[in-house]
Amino acid sequence: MLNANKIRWMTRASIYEKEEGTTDLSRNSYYASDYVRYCLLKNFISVTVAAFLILAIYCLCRVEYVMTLAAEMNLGPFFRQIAFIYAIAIIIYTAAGIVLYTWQYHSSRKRLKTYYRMLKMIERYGQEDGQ
Amino acid sequence: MTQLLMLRERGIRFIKEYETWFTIGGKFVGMMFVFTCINNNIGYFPALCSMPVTLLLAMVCSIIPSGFIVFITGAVTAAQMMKLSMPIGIVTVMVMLIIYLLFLKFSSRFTLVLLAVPVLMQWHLQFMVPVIAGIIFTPYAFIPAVAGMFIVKFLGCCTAAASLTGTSGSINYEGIITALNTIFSQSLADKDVWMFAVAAAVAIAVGYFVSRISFDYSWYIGLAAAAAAEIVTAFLAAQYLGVSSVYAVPGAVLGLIVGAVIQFFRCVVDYSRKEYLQFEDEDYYYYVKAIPKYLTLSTLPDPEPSDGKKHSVIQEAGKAAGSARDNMKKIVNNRKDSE
Repeated sequence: MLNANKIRWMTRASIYEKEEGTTDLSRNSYYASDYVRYCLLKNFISVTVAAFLILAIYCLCRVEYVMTLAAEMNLGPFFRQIAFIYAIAIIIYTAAGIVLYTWQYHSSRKRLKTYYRMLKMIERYGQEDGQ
Repeated sequence: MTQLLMLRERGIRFIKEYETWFTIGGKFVGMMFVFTCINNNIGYFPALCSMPVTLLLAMVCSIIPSGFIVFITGAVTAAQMMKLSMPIGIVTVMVMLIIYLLFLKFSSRFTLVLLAVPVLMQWHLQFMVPVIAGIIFTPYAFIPAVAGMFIVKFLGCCTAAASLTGTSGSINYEGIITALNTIFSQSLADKDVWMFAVAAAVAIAVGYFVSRISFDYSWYIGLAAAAAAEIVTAFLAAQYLGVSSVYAVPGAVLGLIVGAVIQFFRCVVDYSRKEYLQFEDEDYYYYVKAIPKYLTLSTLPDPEPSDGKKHSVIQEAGKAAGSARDNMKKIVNNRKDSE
């Protein structure tokens, strides 16, 4: 005979697996610190690529100014300014990333705890059915 | 009210029964709006603007995950801009990449918000989005909402400045630099974007936090607070920046109505039957406020049965009671025998 409670728990578990389960399970394969570091590395690459694109657009728009600086062999202060802005962007994104990715990891752990509880309930109902 | 709730329940059941088809159909209709909006505003690539290609693109988008939809939409936009002017097309791709890498990467779940803003801007209803997003999504929805608005304004500036870059046969380098300076100075200084950004940030934050406070009808009050905050902020920002905030009022009001309908279909609770519980375990003491959801079809009483149906129900109940009585007699007799 069908066990309505077991089916209910199985449905909940499968909805979770379909929606957030995949992400949560992949996050759970890391330790918290490893997950945060891995995401920060991706974050760093994204910010660096974006910074190069911004620099390229800026140089295109201000090509005359940049060329004048290059002709005067005075590109040092220009690059120092860019490096300063880039460093600030990296610091902001890293700080925000630490908060965001730590929160993401712990939220996933909480959801996974609930999911494991669901699995235990399903197992218990399965044992009851077996008896 | 009961009739309305039953109607809601039937609607939800019907949608759940054909959920896959509704999802595909919804995405298809939404993407038709998006591609039609692109074709109407920057339709420079005749092959992409034709109806069969638009239908095909919308069909493809309706069956792929939401994350890829953004890339297809971006690719179509870039192709249109490249047809208009190759240098401007390349810069458009670069700007879209920058926006993705710096902002949208953190809020890739909110594809709907990102695409809804440009579509609704056709009818000046972009202020609807922050009011609804504050209740349904998280405050991160602010990023795609503003990104969507900025991209539309940026593409508008690109279209206006495209003539400076020269024809496809001869590229005018000075013209390209002038066009790029014009595009970036205009799009970054666009006061409408700043006004929308401030109003959206306030509306989403107010909607999100008010709807999560524990009091009766907090979702609906959150929606109203978000709409009011958006109108007031848009008005103040418009005064400060010297732009018009006239579209904030219809957008916010419509957002309030649509948000209330969406919330009604998401969850309805019976505040008259709320309960306060207190209990403890080894680690914590709990103060719980529990509000039951409204009765669903399975628990609601059936409509008044006809006389024939009543008669058959009574007969069945009589039979069940008779068999239960017989079983009880058997059990009692068996016990007596065993004693």
